[in-house]
Amino acid sequence: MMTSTPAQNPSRSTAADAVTATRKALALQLGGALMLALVLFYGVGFAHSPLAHNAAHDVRHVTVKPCH
Amino acid sequence: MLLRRLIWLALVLALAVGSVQTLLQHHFALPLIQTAETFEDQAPVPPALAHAHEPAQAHDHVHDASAWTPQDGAERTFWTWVANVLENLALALMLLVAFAARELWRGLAAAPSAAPWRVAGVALAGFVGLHLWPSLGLPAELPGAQAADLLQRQMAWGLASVCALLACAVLGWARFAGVWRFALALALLALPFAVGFPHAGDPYAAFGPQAHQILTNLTGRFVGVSHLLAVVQWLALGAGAAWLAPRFLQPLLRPAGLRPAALATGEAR
Repeated sequence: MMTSTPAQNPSRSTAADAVTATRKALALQLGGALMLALVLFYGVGFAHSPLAHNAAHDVRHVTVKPCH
Repeated sequence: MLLRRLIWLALVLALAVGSVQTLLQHHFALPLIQTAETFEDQAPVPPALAHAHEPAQAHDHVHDASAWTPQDGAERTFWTWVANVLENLALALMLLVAFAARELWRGLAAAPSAAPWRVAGVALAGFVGLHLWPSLGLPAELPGAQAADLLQRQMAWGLASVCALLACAVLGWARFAGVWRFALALALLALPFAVGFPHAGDPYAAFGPQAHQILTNLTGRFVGVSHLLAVVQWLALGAGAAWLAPRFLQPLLRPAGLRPAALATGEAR
């Protein structure tokens, strides 16, 4: 249990702030990777464009995406 | 940088799993699809379906003669491979992101040696949410089958998928009391079936009795093949990620110079 306030232990607080900032930066990158994944997943499996559909046709059928 | 590492790891996994999937599909699924296509090309369009096929719907139809379609043979297999690699890249990214998000959320307090099992749990959720649950409502279809409106089916697919993934997240990650966790997960799993999946009656109503029988048998085999290939795909993705993640992903989730204990302190703030 951590009970010290920033006034009592400034160095501890700085370390904790750095950790929070790093975790935010990492979470942001995870969000970016997830966006990329969703765009790819939509493009291969769901996009209505005839080109995307025809290129991925067999994969859509086998992976049980609604097709036609 | 975490994002770059995620993309590289997912790409390695996607190239391996996508290539194996292409081989398996070529062997088990393509013959069924191509047999169905020979029927599809001969299918007479009965008056009832001709009415349903308004120009707007014909737009969605695959065999729109004006659109580019890969030639049967090497070209078709090549584009199937491309689609498989991209699909598995997306799935591998989701798998690694879900694992990493959970590690980050818990501040790496749990034993790192358990990481392969946590990856396996996420892969199981992926199989249920991105294959099994949508396919229970909308089973695999062969070309030539008449089905309900495409957009409605896609939305039903999405709802089933999101509900099942949320149910898995609640079961695996939520920290509130067991009974309520199970109740919430069950409600989420039941929701897409309560809403209902769009169906358009007999998919092969347009065909004569003999072709109808053949296509129905083919569809039964195709559904089995689609489940089998999905099991192989998620086993491969899960096993690959379970090996890669502890070695190449977990170290980046630990800010430089900070021990797990410091991370836990940061979390307790």
